[in-house]
Amino acid sequence: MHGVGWNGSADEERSEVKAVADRRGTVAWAALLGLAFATFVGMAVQLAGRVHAAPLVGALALGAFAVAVIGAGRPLTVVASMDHRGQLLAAVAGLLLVFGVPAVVAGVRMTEAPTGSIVVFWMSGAWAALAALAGAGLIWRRSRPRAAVAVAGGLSALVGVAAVVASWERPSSFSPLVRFPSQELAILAAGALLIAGALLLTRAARDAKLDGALVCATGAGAVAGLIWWSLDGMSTGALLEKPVEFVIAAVAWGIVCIALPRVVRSGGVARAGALMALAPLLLTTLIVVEQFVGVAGPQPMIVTGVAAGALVLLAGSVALWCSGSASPESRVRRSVWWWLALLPLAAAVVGLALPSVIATANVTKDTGRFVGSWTLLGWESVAGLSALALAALAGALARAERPIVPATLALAACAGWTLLGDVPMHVLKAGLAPGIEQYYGTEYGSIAFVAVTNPWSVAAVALAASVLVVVMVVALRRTAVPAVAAKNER
Amino acid sequence: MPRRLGIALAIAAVMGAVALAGCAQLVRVETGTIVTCTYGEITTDTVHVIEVPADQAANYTVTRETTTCPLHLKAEALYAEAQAAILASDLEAAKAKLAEIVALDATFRRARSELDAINAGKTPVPDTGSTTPSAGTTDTAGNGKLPVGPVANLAGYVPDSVAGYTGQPVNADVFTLAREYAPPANSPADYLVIVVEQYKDAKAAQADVAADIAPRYGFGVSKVNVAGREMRFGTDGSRFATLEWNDGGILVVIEASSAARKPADLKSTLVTLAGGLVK
Repeated sequence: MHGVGWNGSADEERSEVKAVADRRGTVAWAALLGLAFATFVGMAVQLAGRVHAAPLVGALALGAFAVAVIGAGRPLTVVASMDHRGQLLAAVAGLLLVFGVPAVVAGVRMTEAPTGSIVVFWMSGAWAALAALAGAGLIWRRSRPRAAVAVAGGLSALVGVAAVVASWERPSSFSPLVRFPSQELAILAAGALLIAGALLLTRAARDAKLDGALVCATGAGAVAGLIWWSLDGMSTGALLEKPVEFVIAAVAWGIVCIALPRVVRSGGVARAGALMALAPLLLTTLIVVEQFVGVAGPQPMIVTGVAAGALVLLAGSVALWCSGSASPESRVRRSVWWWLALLPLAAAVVGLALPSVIATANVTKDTGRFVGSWTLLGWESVAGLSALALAALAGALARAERPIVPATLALAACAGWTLLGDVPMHVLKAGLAPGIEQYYGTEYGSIAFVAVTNPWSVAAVALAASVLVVVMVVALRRTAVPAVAAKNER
Repeated sequence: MPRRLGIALAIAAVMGAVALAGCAQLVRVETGTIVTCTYGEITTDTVHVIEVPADQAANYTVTRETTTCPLHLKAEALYAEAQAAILASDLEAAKAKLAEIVALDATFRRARSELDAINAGKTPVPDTGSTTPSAGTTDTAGNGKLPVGPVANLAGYVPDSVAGYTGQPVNADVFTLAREYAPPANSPADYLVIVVEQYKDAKAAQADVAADIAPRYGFGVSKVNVAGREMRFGTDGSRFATLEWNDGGILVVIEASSAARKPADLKSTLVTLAGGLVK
């Protein structure tokens, strides 16, 4: 009798079966969201920079509407089952989520700036961090330890994403907030729209099924998209030129729109963030596949940086996922141990202010040769910020109820941390003339980064690893004790 | 109280971050002029490092000028007189001029060989080419012209062929020579290039290796000794391998691409090639 309790009543059996089905459904929606979101991010990078924003957003919103209608089965019936307030709320949510998010991203990408790696960073890492903050804010009163895990997980996910996309090539174009800060902040704002829209949608549906709210939301988004497309002249040239890409983007966005509220409703907004953070890993997998099959030729990916960054990202993502757990409230109290667990965080903060990477640019210009070097401090290096994120994660997991899986990943990330030593948070330097930087990686110029030992960051990671080991030992003993007690009872 | 402390710490952190952002905008740049004689020597080097705001950094560059130094101007004049003396069969006068040239620069054009010929009782064939190196000479086996100017003395590192690899036209910059080589049929390398660059001194060449080459080719690093020269072998971990050495300020880099994508296997090939260049 699989999954049945000791008294095995029929009601309990039915509720157990339902719970298992719910869990499977949650996992399926989560997997769909992760895959569709990564596809959407990839399309935002590839497609949005090449075609007009209006037809793209119109197609995406229509795609979302089609997916929602197909998913609902009987769309009119499910919409009619909602009250007017719910319908209105869902429509507003649709304007924010279904129409607003792609409109902002595509509008920014129309300028061909910022570059792809930066767009992925903001759409994946920064949106995940926003979701983590939102999740932490929502669970703060109920469980501060879980809120702390969400914040630390969001930070790790953000830094992990930066590490991965900054290692996609060398020299990388990854330099957030250096050349196009207003466009990048607009993408960040789109993330706020995404989260607000998803939360509003779940509120609009209340206790009812989400299908009706989704049809209302995507319908409103589709109308807004069509209006914008019409005002732009209803051009279909780009659509007919790249029909396959448009369909893929529209379907992916549709799945994101219907899966996101479901994941938010079942596990909280932090869990949605955990899945959004995975997009760079899935895109990296695509790049690796391309490398092997040779579609786009060899890629100058820095494998060590990607691997070490992926560990930080996964540790953050899993921690974020765990912060959405419905497990009982932590019984771990503040103690001397908890304060000790914050020592790595203090060391990491000091490390942010110390030299971490030396950059050296060498460019041949018409007027002579430019040879310049400058120091990147801890907060400008992936290693410095990773130390901070891992230290925060260790401190947060010290009070978590079930820390074993995220702690194991965080420990692995600590082990691989040294591989991030020479990865800068920005290749381009604010103030330095673009006339020099445009030659990086060409026959006329190069830029190299050399890691500098930052003792405070090293100490932070070493201490964080020690804390994580203690956290894991304590957690394993905690789980072993009830098992031994149960055995003794028998 | 703890809440106030937290707020104070947060404000301090933000102010610190702003201060850090302001402090980190300085760039160390090299500025100055390097004057090089047309015969290769660096005659003036005023390059020094200064720290400037990032937005002004692009205004500072290292400029290079090429001119014939007084010593070589004198050598050119003596050489022309020596050639005229040889043509006039006045070998004693030619010998005196050539000896004077060799005392100034033992490697100047054909002064040494002509002096040796006269000392051996032979009459050297007069050098009827241009008295300045800027005119260049035609490559006998290559597809283009031999490099001229300061890089002319680096040409020995990029021969027409080495260990079965056939040289392509030479690409010459002010201080750099680069030559691609077509590999033989059974070569483990599907691409080969030799780059030679003249630096101010051995220290400058070493600094460039540390800043530019070592980070890019940091896999499977090892030292090898070829004909008394210490060389560094390294790969990029996926495709390319390099072997480089520092000849007192002349940096020689042999770079090859592994056909089997196993760059570590190219070590013996590159060592053989290096042996052909430094013999």
